[in-house]
This record gives sequence, structure tokens and C-alpha cells, in this order.
Amino acid sequence: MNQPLRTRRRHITQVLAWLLTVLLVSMGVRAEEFRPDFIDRGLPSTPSRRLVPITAPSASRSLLGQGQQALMHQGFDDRAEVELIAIYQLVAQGHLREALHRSGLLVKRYPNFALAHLLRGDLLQAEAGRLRRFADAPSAPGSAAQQAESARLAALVNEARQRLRAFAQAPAPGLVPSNFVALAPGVKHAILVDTSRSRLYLFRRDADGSLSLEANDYITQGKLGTDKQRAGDMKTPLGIYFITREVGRRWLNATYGAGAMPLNYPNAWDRLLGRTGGGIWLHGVPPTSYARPPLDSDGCVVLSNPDITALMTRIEPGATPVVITSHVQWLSPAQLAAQRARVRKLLAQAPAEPGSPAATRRPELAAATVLYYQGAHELLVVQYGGQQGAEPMTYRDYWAKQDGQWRLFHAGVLS
Amino acid sequence: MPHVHHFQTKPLLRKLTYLLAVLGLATGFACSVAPAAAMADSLAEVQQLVAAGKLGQALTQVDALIATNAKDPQYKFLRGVILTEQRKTTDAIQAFTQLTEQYPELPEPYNNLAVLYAQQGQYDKARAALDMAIRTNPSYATAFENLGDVYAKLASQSYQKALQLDGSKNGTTQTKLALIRQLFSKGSEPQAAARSTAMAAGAVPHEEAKPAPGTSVKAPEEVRPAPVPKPTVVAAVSTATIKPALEAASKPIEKPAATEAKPEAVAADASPAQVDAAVHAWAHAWASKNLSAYFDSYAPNFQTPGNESRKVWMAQRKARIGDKAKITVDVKHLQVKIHGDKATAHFRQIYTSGALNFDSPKTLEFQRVHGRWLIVQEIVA
Repeated sequence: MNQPLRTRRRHITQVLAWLLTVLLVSMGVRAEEFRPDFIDRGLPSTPSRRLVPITAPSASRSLLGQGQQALMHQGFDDRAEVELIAIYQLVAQGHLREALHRSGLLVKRYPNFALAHLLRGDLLQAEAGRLRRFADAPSAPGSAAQQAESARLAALVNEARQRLRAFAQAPAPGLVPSNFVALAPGVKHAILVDTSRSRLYLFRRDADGSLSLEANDYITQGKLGTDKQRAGDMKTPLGIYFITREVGRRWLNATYGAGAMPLNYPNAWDRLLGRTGGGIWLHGVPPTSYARPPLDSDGCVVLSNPDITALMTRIEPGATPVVITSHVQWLSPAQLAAQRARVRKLLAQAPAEPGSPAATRRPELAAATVLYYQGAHELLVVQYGGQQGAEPMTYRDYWAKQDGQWRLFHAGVLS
Repeated sequence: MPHVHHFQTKPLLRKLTYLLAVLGLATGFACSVAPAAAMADSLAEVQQLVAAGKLGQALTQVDALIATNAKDPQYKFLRGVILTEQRKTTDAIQAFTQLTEQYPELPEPYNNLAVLYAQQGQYDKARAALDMAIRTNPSYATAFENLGDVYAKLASQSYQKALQLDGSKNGTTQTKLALIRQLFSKGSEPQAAARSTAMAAGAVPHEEAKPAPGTSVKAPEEVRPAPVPKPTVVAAVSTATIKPALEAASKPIEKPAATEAKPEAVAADASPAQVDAAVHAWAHAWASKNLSAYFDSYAPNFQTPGNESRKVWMAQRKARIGDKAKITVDVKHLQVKIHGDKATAHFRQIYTSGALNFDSPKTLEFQRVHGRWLIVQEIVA
């Protein structure tokens, strides 16, 4: 008597597993050139020239078979996310019952994690034998509230896609971004935000100058994507920034969650291009949610509260650089060393702007932080210490490549 | 709502036969021993009473039957069904729980327990009970169907949570209500009362040939919603047991009107019972979406919650109440204090609409106007 029911349920299991597999495979196939459609609007076309032509050896591999421990070692330190992914893995393997059970534990532990509820909804639907598609929340055409719901659902599906992609195509262990050409010995950490992947990577500088990945976090960016130009354009800036200070929970409106770290947007380069706006922060989420959709802020980079808290214990205001880019080049340590040598050479050879303060001083490159960004223009920021009389000083120079020639266009002094 | 399972519904007739044989009782089909036949008759009698809506009477009779046949689970089961119909959910849960303890091999009590839990919105408990029902009888189709319903309900709850939790937006309650209406307006969740009433009607013996009962189990959408029995009605039935059967039967429908008409006659001395009746009449009008009776429970000088005009307030209430497929309003732990022409009623208001379940303390301030107790203020604590 129950046979048809059981059969139907099993059939649905296969359908769900199939759907997820399709989702994952479609991501894997387009791993290299993938730019999510929602990122594309408003972005200028990809630049053609690069400082170092390197194909990003991002590791594309199946979700299956990656143990939780292995994930933790790749910087995935957000327990809620790791568990979420583990449940998706179970689904992909066809272990629906186990997945259902674990999803119950997950939503119990993180009751504000909307995506976990969505996943659980699907699993329960599957158990009821009524699942029709991925993220099967009901929808009916009509009211404004209805439209808001379908927009919310689409945002959650985007979040699921971005999180899954981050795991399926995590940078292979040991790779480092081309942006961190060199970090001065005093700079212990550097942050990279990859807006195309909705991820933030925290790198630690070891004593020998090598970099290791410490955190790999999901982030939210501006509602209208990236490349901020004007105040109120709802976009996240792209470029090289520094964390200026830390703001603890008690000073913040609940909207910003467990903490905030303002960035120095607009920097010298932004101001040169006439970009406006400000108040671009890295911050947390209100207590009512665990995460926000991929495109949801007014331009800030938003992390979950556990993630922002962990970040704030590690970074050093004023020293920790934050490079925000929509295209990361992942390099092996040897490739990065080669890049470092090239940059040093060009900095030594490049003519300083006549009359600029930098004409009279040259960085000690061995003890300098050198950051590289490649967008519509190639940029370098060099930060180094020095002396002015008895006073120790920090200098920050901005270089840009124009007409094939690197030029110093701004030399700043930090007290 | 999941299917309430009655012994007599068609697909499970075999089940009943089996049960009786095991317990050494004669069935209606093979009755040779007179006392057994008499028992079967009295069982049928009770079922007829249930079908006719004479629940109080049915309960009295079934209690008598249980007293003389302590070992027969079907009377206790029927008792549970009657309590369910009477909306004495706690008692019904107790009755079925006892049955599962005494007869753990029977899947039906587990199933009905699940239905009751589901009515209360306790879907995890409902799921556990249905798992037990299926464990005791792996080919129990009703339990499987119900389990599917429960999972779907849990799924919709999860989806709601997924769509609601958005710290950046306010007004989530609006979204929530709209979502629920849309979730359950497809007719997949007919009124439990409607279905169980229809099935009770189908449970009348000697009417098995009628096609209606069978189809009502399979296609609950076709069942016409019956008037929802209310707490006041239940009280009326149980106090009216001494009265002749016919009168008791006609009572449930007329009772609310009677309570509304009554206060004028006894206007002279204020008694808590009048306020009590006014509270229940108000709850009934709300639950049955009888807007004119609902607004009639409020005094002309009613202080609207947001100090809006009465017209605006009425329009809001009308929209809020009108768009719900089904509302139930239960009043619990009612306490009434009277000071002359004013009265205060404190109670727990259990409001359900779809999967929405609000259990909140409520205070109604009453004023007596021309012998009628009318609401002047409504406070949600």
C-alpha cells in the first residue's frame, strides 16, 4: 500500500540530487570566466593589459569527498556555512534523510540563517514527496508583497550559488593573490575581497614573508554591484584601501552588527578621478539575520557577526590593507616572487613626478608594503616607514600606469 | 489539516474487523452472541449521535460503555474522536495518548494524536506520532498521507522563515501574513472541522453504500465547510445534556444569537457570566468572520489602538479579517472583574489562521450600554 509513496519519494530524491549536480557542474564548467550575471551590470569591460599574464589556477573540483576538516583548513571558518555546505554535499550524495536531520540541527543552532531555512524547506518538501525544484518556496503572481518575496527568494538562491561556488572552486591551498606583492614585516595581515565570488580572504604574513590563508568568508556587497563612482550609487568601490580604525559593537547601531572597520575610501586615486561618497565600511549584520544577500548593502562589505568579530581580533587599524577586486589572479608563491622582483625593478626605474615629495625619497623596498590592483587602470600602492628628523614617519605612494608608463601621482604622509 | 481517522471510514473497514476478531468480540457481520450484538448496537448508537452532532450525549453514552467494557479500545477510541470533535484538544490528546500506551500495536491512535498535534501547530510532535503509526503498521496509507501533509507544512514554515528573516527590512509581519494566505488558499488545507464533520456523517452505519463518505476522504476539497463549532457552543452542548435530544441538537447554531439577545433581559444585575458571554460572542464573531456582529461588540466610544478614526480602524479590521481563509479564536483562562457598569476581562487569546498561531494575553475593557456589555478598549499585553 505504501509502495507508491516510497517510490515517489525516492524518485524525488533523485530529482533533487540531479538538480544540485546540474547546478554544481554548470558552475564548474565555467569556472574560469564565470562572472555572475548580477555582477555584470554597470561594470566596465575587462581590461586587456595585465602586469603579469597568468592564468588563475583556481582549483575546480567536486564538492563531493571534501571532508569538513579539509574545508576548515582552507580558511572556511564559518561553522554555519561549513555545516550548510556539508548538508548540500549530503544531498548531492543522495543522503536526504541525514541531510534533513542535520538541517534541523543547523536551523536550531543558527535560527536566523535564512538560507539554512530555505534548504530545510526543500528537504522537507522532498520528504513530503512534493519538491518540484531547487528553492521551491511557493509563489503566486500578484501583489507587491508577492514580488518582494520572489525577489527575496532570488536573492537567497544567489547566496546559495555564491556559497557553493566558493567551496566548489576554492583557491587551491598555497596559492596567493597577485595583489599582495609584498607586505612589510610589521604588517601581519592583508584582506582581499573578491566581489565576483562574494568572498573575503584574510591572509597572514608569516615571519619569512610568505602568506597563508586564515579566513575565507562570505560577504555582501552593494545593491548595484561594484566600481563605486558617486555618493549614493549603491556600489562597492574597487581598489586598494586600508582599514582606518575599528568600531566596537557598543558604538554602533544594531544594523552594523558586532563591529565595523571603516575604509579610507575615497583614496588619493579615487579623488583624482573625482569619485565621491564615503563611509565604506566592513561591518556585521543586525541580530535578526545571520547573513545578507550577495547584493544588499549601500556599498559596504558586510560579513556575518562571527566573521567580523574574528576579523577584528586579527587586523591592525592603519596597517591592514584591503584590496577589493572583481577579478583575482591566484599565483603560486614562486610566481608571486617573480612579480615582486618585476615590481621592484620598475619602481626603481620609474621617474618620479618632478617637484613631488617623492622625488627626494626612495622607499626601502625590502621593508615596504606593495599592493597591486588591476581594474580599468593598473595601480600600485607602496607604503613604507622612514624618518623625518627624529620623527618616525609612514609614507604612502600611489602609482598608476598611464600610456604604458608607471607614474607616481600621489605621495602621502601618514603621521 | 491531516485526515482525522475514524474506524468506520471505508478504506479502513478491514482494519476494524481485524481488531474486533483479535479482541475476541463478535463483529457486526458475524454476530451470533446477543450481548455482543447489543454492544455493537450501542456503538452504532453513539456513532449516530456523533454524526448528528449530539456530542455531549455521545460522550455520556460512550463513557458508560467504557465503564462496562474497560478492555475494548474502540470505545476509548471513539471517546477520543468525540473529544476531538468537541475541540477539547487537551482531553483528546490525553485519551489517544493513553490508548497508545495501552495498545501500542494500534496505529490509529497515533494517527489521530498527530492530527491533534498538527492542529496545535506542533508539527514535530505530529511527525513523531505518525512515524510511530507507520512503524506499527507500515502499510497505513492515511498515516503516510498525513505525514506528507505534515512535512509539507514544516517545509512551508521553513520557507516562511527563509523569506522573512531579513534584518534590513521592516514590516515583515505583513509579508508573513500574505505568504500564509497564499500558501494555504489553494484548498489543500481545508477546515479540519469540515472534514471531520463530513467523515463523521459518513460514519453512520448502514450507509456504506453511499459514495459520499469514501470520496470525502480522498477529496477533502469538495467538502463544504460546515459551521465551525466554538467554545461557547461546546459549553452549551455539555450543559444541555439533560434536555431532550432534539432541543440539544438544534442548540449549537442558535446559541450565539441567544447569548447576544439575552443581556437586555438581565440588565438589572451585572454578573461576570454576562461579560463572559460577551467575550465569547466577540471571539465567535471574529472567528466566524461575522463582521457586523464583530463590530457590534465594540462600543461607539471604543478607543482604537492607534487612535485612528473608527472608520479607518473598521476598514483595517475588515481587510485583516476578510482575507483569512480560516480563523479560530480560542479564549482560555478567562477572568472577569466588574466595577459597576465597567468590566475588565483578562484571558489568553489563542488565534490561529493558517500556520499562524498567536497565543497572547489579552485584556478587554467593557462598558455596559443599555444592558449590553460592549468593548471600549482592547489591549494586547
